[in-house]
Amino acid sequence: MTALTVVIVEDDERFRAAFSAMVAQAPDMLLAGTAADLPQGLQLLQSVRPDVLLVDLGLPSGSGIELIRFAHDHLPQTDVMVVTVFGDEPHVMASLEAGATGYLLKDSRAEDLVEQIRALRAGGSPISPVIARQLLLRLAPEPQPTAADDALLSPQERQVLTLSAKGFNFEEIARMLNVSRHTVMTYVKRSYRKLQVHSKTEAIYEARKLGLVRD
Amino acid sequence: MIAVLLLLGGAVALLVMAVGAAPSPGPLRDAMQDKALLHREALPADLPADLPEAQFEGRERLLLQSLPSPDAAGWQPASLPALKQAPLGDSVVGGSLSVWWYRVQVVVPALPADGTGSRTPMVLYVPRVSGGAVLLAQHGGELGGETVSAAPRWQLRWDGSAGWREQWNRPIWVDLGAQAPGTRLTLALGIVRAPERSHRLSRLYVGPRELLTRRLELRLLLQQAAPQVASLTFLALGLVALIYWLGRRGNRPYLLFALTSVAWTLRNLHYYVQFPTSDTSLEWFWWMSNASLSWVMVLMYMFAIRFDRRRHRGLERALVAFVVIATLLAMPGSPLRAVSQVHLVNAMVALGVGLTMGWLAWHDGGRDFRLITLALWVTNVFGLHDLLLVSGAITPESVYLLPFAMLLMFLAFLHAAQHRYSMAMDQVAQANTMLEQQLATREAELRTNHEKLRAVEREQALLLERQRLMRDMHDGLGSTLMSSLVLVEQGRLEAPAVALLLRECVDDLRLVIDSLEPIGHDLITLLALLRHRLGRRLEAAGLQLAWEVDDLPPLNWLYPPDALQILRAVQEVLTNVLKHAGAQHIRIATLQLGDRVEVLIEDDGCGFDTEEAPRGRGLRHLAQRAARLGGEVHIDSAPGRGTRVRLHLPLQRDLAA
Repeated sequence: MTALTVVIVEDDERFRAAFSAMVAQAPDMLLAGTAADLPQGLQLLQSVRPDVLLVDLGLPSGSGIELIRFAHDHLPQTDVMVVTVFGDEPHVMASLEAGATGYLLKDSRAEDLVEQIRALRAGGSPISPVIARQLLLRLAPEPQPTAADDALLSPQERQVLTLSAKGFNFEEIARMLNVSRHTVMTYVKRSYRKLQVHSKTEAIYEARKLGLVRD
Repeated sequence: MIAVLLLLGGAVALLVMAVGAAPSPGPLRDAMQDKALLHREALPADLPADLPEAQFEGRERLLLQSLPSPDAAGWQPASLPALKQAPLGDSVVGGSLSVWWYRVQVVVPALPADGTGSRTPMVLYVPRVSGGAVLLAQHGGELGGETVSAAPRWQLRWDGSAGWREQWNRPIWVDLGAQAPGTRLTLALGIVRAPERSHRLSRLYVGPRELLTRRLELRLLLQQAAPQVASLTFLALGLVALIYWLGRRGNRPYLLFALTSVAWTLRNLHYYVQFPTSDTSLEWFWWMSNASLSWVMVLMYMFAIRFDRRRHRGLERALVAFVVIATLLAMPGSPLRAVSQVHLVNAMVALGVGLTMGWLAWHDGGRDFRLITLALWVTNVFGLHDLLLVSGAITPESVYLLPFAMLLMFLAFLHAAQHRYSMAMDQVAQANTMLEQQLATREAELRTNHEKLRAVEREQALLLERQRLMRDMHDGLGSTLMSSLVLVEQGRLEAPAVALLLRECVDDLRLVIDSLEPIGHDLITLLALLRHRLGRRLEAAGLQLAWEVDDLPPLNWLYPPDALQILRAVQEVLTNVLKHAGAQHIRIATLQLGDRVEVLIEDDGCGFDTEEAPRGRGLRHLAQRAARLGGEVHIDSAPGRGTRVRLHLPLQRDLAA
């Protein structure tokens, strides 16, 4: 099995060193490069196409989001993971809309980091109750459309998000839905993708309404 | 509109003149008699008083006795029309009545249709004769189909005495029977009248009936039908105006219009009604007729003046007073009763009104007012014409024009009223537009004010929130950091302890952040957040968490400040469990109890004795926090039997606090 290539973009030296060390220690991962700011990161990404991109949301002047967007547009095969200090809703939602498919808390332990990267690469994503709630609000607002195919979320995705918003963890949700934990995480990742698409559609719709974009 | 008015006036005048003009050469010309022979004679004095219409034995003989035979002396040439015939000279013997005979001779023409000699129906048509009763005598010839065999003499062919009162406005039409073409007809038209009066006679027409019928019909139409129809129409409109006025008393013009229509109808009566027979009633009738003309003038003036912007109260009152006095003075039985004076009064009123309005119209009169004034002047001209007709200054064959004058006035009024109406509609539209504009401005103002207010409120809210946050951080983080700093500087803390303190700070900061997350009044989401944060730690400590939360209705008071308190409270409980209970299982459940919710945290740890003094400050704090949230906390524990902490919170709280 080929090792997962990981690129880390983090402006704080200590954290950068810590992350690099974590990745280096993992047997199935390979550190493909590090960068300290946006220009360096862009330059790095010209030549390297990593499997996982780890981006610090706290990059100076909001450039973390820019990098996520760049990666989303130009590196479709790369999974973008965002590192955030507190994991609060505005930051996470912004990253998800920009194209990230996973997020981490900055003070996570080493095993967690590596575990999350593996899970992300395998197709699943982590989530918090508030994020789940926001997703539900954005993609499945009340009242529900009558036709099942009009809804943006599939029934399973909706169930996962609802249970997550209530505080159940992935194991509990997997037990309740009779699926594996990994499957639950893939539903989450799919919901994130739908959010990206949805927010893009919304943006285009708004732009059209404002006359910024012609048909 | 002025052009239309003038055109109509001109058309009417022309029509009337055409009626009165001499016909062009042709059969009509042949029928026209403008040369006659006149004989006048006084009737005997001892006559029945109520001649000429009195019927008595020998009346015909009496009337005809003054008529000499055609070839006798006593006939003078006279030309027709005869205007203003002077009274008889001093040859008159104090008689009460005199007769004026006009003699004409006509040869019966042949009908143009067939000249084979069939008889021609002949008629005598006299457009107007006024001043006395009319008689028609025929000398010789056939009379009623009988051929007179004896010596020709005068016979009374037609007697118009019965209608002598209305005679002045009725044409004379006498059927002379079907005569053989070529017959010579000798006719004499007699006018019986008082000697001091004067009479007027138009030209005579003797000719075939078909020829003259049309002229008669036209004349009847113009002289009688027209005034009648016009009066009734006007009266009907006046009735409508009266009803309007009754509905809205303030609208004076309607009342004036109604009164004008009544006065005008009264005025026009004399053109077509049957007159009363007694002398007294006749006098009163003529008084009413003449007075009503002045009243029409004054009322029209008062009505017209309402179309002018200026107010002329004094003038109105003076005019009204004048007409009232004149009307009273002209009543039968009053000393100033000569007919000419009544007409004089009317003329003065007409002139006065006309001049006033003309002056007003000239100086700053509106277009409508000028139009009405013009119509009034046309009316005055017509009135003058009628005056000349009555007094015999113009040919009696003309037609009285005043009834038609009203038509023009009425058109002028209609136009002015319509103009007023459209102006009023325009004003209404304008006012509406202005109102809308004002409304729009006001709305915009209100909106800006509202926005400003909202902005201020937002600022206020943000400020309060910032203050709250600072307070909270100061209380939680601030004090912990400060005390830790002091301890580290004093060298009384080891690295692991420092790490623990720092982690506590991070945790508290996390709590504050979590309390700010959008949970939308949902307590379950709040608790879920806490579990998300602490789940790992509980696992690491070997605790198995049973998450048995159920949906709860939204808490209307659950905003960040109180959310933070709840998080801190629950975290304290969990921290207690972690530190002191030594438990293996922990259960978190929620429940709705009527108007309250319950959060249950149960562990199977070692428990403690609730009777004893509460351990540490944790439990006291918990009770305080719960009270501040509007709820309470119940702790149920016994040594060796685990602990159950129940936090009760209200569903709804009064938010005004």
